[in-house]
Amino acid sequence: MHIGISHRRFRAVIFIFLFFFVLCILRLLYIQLFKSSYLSHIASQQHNLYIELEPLRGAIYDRNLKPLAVNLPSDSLYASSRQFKNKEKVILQLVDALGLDYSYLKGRIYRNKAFVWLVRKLSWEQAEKIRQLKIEGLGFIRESKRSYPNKNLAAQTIGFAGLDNVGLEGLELYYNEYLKGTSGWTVMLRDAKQNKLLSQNLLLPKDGSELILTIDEFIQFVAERELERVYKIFKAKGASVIILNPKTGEILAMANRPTYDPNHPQVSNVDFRRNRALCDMFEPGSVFKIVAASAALEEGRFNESDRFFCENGSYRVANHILHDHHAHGWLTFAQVFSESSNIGTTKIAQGLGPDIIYRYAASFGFGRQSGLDMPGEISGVLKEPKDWSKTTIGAVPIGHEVGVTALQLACAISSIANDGILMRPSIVKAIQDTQGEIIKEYKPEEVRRVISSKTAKRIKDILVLATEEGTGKLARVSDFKVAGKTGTAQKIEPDGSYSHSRYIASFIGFAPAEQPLVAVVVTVDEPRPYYFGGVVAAPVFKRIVQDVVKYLKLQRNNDAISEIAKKTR
Amino acid sequence: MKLKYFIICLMALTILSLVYAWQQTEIIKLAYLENNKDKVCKELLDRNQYLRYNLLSQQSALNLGNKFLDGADNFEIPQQSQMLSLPLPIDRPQGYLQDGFRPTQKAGIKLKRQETFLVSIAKLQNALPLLIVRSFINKQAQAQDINR
Repeated sequence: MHIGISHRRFRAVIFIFLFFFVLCILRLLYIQLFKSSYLSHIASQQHNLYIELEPLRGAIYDRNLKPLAVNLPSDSLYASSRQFKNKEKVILQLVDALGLDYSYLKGRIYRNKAFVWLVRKLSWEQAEKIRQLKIEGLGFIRESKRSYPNKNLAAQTIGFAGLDNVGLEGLELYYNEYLKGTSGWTVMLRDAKQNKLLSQNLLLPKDGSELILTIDEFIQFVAERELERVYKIFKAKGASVIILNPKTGEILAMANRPTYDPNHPQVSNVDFRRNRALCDMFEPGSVFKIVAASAALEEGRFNESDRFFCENGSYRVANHILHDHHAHGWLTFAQVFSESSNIGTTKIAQGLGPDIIYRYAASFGFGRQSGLDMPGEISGVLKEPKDWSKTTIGAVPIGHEVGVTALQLACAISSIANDGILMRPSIVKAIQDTQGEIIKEYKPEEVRRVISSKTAKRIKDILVLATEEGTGKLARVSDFKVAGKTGTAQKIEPDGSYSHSRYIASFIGFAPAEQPLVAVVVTVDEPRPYYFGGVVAAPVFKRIVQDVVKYLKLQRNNDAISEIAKKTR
Repeated sequence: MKLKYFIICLMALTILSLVYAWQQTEIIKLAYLENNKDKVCKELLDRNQYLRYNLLSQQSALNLGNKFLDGADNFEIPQQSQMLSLPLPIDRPQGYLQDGFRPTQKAGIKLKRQETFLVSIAKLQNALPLLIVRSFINKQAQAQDINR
């Protein structure tokens, strides 16, 4: 009986143990089979961290592979304000170190959050200053900041990228899809203190492609230097310079004033960021006379020796009196343009008729966009002959009642330098990947033949005459002949009348005249006290082509020497 | 006999489990070490890049031009006859950049290989015993130190 009771107790204990054992097994089965995905998801969230890997934005280089826009590692400052013992002290220290607004910092720090941005993308010096303060609760996150080592050089052309490395203006905006790259990701193991440890899965980011521009850094510098000079001396409202290679249409320099530093776009005036060479339309004045001259010679209606009576400076066209700056009597065809006689030009235009003038103006590219791969280009204004009034024949040929951009003028004068062929302007030479492999290459593109080669030569001679004996004497260079045309256009007042105090001075030309290497357009908006194109803009042209032509010839010689050296090794 | 085998198997399993647990802790310790070294390495690289950027800024056309031409309004490029051109002694291979912001094509391929290697290391850590992985990591770290 005693043994029977022991057996019963033994069985009872075994049964209880088995019961709880089975419960544990069932519980384990339940966790493993039914709850496993849920629980492993929670564990994964706790232990793993998904991080997006930011790609490096593609750099921008000039035609000689000198960097114009690069990426710089930069610290962004954040605050975990719950960790601050004395918030007021922290705010005062930061105001002192960074020069930030007290109320801004107060608003941020008193939010009482675990993470609050204070300043994005500090400079290294600023970050060092903050680190030395050793304030607990402040932290840094390393980010990539877009930087421009040349500061305001070609600022409007290159544009800038914002805080999140997205292009906002200029080429940074237009080619953003190429430059931005593709993000990657990684899943990292992290510990209880949120330290990142091991990367478990990884997709590397694809860095952005790089742009190689047609801009030459040195030529751009020369253009900017001369533009700054004329802008300051004549207290102008604005100014632009474009330098083109007439054979290829490549833009070697494009400068504007006023300008800004794209490293600090937030402190710049929005107006300063405008690319005036593309976005500003103006009545060109006498520089537009190349259209009438080209049309007259190409159509064979006139030749250089034909004489025109310039009415001693006053001529009625319908109900409007046209004036010349200087009273002229009889002038030859060539002298009409070299002396820039409005009356002589109008008489030639009257001989041609509105249709021909319009056709050649359109053929030179006026009244439409050039197709340049940059944002913000406008088409200008060119009225069709059906919209011309009786006075328009006395206005359009001399550059009034027509709206043009500096780029359109540059393309037009380039076509004359290029034996009558209009080339499409280009600013990007090639796009390459980070290994230097070319993804896309932009070749020079011929748009159309505007005038014959023979006519182009004749116009060249007239333009040389303009600089030798005409209104463009201050554009003359001692080492070689230059060809060009001055322009002095009255601006329009708000009441619609032409101003007698506000002008646009311009000069368009190319050099050397015999074998043009560059075509240059200089426009100065509201220069004071002088406003004539021949006085304000022509000297800028001279100083630019003096240096640029020498530089280009030197480059060619260096290339030739390198070739010879390679062959003789 | 059966009990003996059972105990031996049990002990072997226990030892293997302990080794596995030890291996995982070693991996985590190495990860901390690697993390610290990586931070130092990144800091140095970023500092290097910042200094190179300073060099770029200093040698940019705008900076040099403004410094040398400050007030010298009449500066002109000299005439061709006043200059002597000499060929460079070393032929730069195509794709070489002097700004130092990018590696050459060859170095670029090397970097790509290193990156692929690192990804493989991450995968290997899950599959191979720690010792083999550790030697791979050490060799790679050394190679990166030399290259950078």
